[in-house]
Amino acid sequence: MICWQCHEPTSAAVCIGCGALQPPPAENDPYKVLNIPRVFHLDVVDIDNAWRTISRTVHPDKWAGEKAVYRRMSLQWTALANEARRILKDPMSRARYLSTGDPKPPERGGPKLDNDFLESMFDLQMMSANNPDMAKEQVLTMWDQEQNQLNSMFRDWEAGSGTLDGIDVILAKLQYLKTARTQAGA
Amino acid sequence: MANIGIDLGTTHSLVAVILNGEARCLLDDNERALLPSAVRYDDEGQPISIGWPALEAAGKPGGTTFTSAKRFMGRSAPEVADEARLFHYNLVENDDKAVRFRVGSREITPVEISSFILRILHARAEECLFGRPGGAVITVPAYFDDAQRQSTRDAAKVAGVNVLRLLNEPTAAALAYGLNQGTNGQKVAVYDLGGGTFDISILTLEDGIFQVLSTAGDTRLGGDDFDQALAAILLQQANVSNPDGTTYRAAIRAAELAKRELTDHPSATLKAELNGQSVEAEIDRGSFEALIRPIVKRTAEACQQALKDAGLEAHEIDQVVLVGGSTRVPLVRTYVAELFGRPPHCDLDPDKVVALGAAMQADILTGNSDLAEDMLLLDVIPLSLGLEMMGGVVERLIPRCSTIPAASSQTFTTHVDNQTAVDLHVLQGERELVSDCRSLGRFKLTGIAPQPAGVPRIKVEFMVDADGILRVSAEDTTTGNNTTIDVQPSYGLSEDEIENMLEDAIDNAETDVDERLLIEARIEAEQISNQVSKAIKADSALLQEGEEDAITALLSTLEEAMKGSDRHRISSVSKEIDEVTAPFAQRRIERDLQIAIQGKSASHVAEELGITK
Repeated sequence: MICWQCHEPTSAAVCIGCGALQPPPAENDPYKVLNIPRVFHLDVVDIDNAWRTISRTVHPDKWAGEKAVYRRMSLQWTALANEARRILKDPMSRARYLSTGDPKPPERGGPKLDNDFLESMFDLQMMSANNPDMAKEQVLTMWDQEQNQLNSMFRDWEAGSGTLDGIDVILAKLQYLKTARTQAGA
Repeated sequence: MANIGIDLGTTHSLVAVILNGEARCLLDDNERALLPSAVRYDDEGQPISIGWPALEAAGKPGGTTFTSAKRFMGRSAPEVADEARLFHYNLVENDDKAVRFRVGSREITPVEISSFILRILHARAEECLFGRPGGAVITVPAYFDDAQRQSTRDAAKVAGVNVLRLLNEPTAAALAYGLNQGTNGQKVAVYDLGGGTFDISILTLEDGIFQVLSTAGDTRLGGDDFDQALAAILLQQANVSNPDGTTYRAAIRAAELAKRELTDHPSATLKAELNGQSVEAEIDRGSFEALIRPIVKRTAEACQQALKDAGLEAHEIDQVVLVGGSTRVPLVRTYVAELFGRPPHCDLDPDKVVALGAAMQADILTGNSDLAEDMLLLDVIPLSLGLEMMGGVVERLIPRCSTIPAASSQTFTTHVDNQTAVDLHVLQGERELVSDCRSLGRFKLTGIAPQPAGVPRIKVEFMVDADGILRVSAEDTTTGNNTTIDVQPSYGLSEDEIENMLEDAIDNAETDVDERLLIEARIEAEQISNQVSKAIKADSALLQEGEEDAITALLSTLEEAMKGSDRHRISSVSKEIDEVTAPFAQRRIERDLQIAIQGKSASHVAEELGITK
């Protein structure tokens, strides 16, 4: 990055040389915004720390007395940082972002899920009414299963030895299971 | 120039500054820090007194004293009809528009009333500081919605007060406490029960950052409700079922005195002259507490909600801080202690703590604060923001308790061929249905290029700024045009109304203050004019078609305005120029970036070719 004010190289949100606030990154990449390594396995504490660090430099309170252009940028920067933290703190949206570039689930469509899974979801719903305790146990088992698969896929990917192909199916299943968990009170 | 902190309260207001590294409330000539939030108008509707004299004259003939204007800020007439009746204010019937009171031939808005309070406090600061304050941090209840915040800003604008930030009251209080005795990683609950509003906020303090985790509350719950309950006893005793304004006020006054007495005494006497007869009623603390317990209990719901949103249990709270005059009531203290399982802090004066915190934040915003160089406040939005979708359902865009500033964008399209406008209805609240949420305003996007239905892509961005106020912008992403947004606030005042009030304000204000403001406005305008003219000359290539004409036209409007003595006109044209030139400024920044990058690659090329400088 080159500072837009003093034209010297800079790598931070605020130019080390002249102290000018730099424009926020054009592409909305939460990892870039918070300056966090692009991996799935993240510690919540690290996300919060990175968010605090960036907030400390770009927050509107730090630019309150400055020119309008700085105030505008600081508003955009902080909104991006807050959004980035929200995306990265939720493992599901983090996983979605890494695999598709969009933290939100697809509005329509999405991957086709196998019949076995859909059937078991249907069974779960019936079970929730008849035997809530069993339903609870079952949904948590299924949740852990998918979660483990997600974790192992990302571990391979992070090690550079795997792809994220098919992860959309796992995410779609987890989305279903999340709803089922709420229903079962688990 | 020093910045000031203003606590614009329901019953009382204060102003504080940092003096010699310490936050202090400024006093009036009689050494009082509190200014009653009361403004009195004569029968023609002209303002005659503000503060103590206005309060003392309340209920007497020859005028109307407005107290508790804050309860009416950013609300609609139907919403406040009951309260207006209670206070005996003559509410102007208007369907679903901002509140107005009729006095004589004038219609008076809560914004105008609040602006008088702000003006007095600002003048007090000016006198104490021997100079005009640079800017002000004004506190608002955390649970204030967008319309209420906007109204507070409007009041400041009318008063000629430069608002640096709207700060949530509990956050201000936490700041005042935290700087004195906070430790890292602690979870703090701020329980703020004022005259008319209740707020609960849960915060953490980590590495000098105050982060609000959640907030909840009730903007119509407070100590005034205790007074009303006590007054009802007295009125019943006197057999008055439908009291007139004077009688009601006398009863409220007696109730207030008794309430205070009951803080330190086991019993008190309610005493008042009602309709010419003197009435007395003895009340002990036990029956007072039984009377107000249901009101105090109403705070529990918001506390539970805030805990839930913060993901915490009551026992995980390390400190509880009490704010607001109503937390002096012993029952409130024991209730809070029970609720959180620990005795609350109350070592700072609950009336002053918010103003002190506001002054600290104002000092932090100067950018060279000795007090708290690295302190930062990160606050949240109290209520979710959403849009009306087909079928009257609300789609949530920014959920409650999101850290602000917060942005969210949504893409819209058209439903009919060649449609050139889209209506958006913005709502605030937690319910699923439009009818259960509060309408903030309607936005009309116009200037969409005519195309078949479903083809246009209009990207609308919602941005909640650091004051918790919503701004909306839109862009037609198929054509790259900025579509125009026409805002119709549901409960706020229109630009024209504010403008009129500003003009009225000039008539009433002291001329020398105005003179100075005029000079300041001219200096600022001069700077803007110079900067923009220079930029146009230097970078005419970056101007889009018609842009230069628009800017030049505005510049000559500004020049005209600067010759005149209407500072608001000068400021509004300056602001308009700032807005109109924003895309141009952005392009210049991008160009500068480009040049910088190209400059770098050119030197790389030079390096590769082995050319040395």
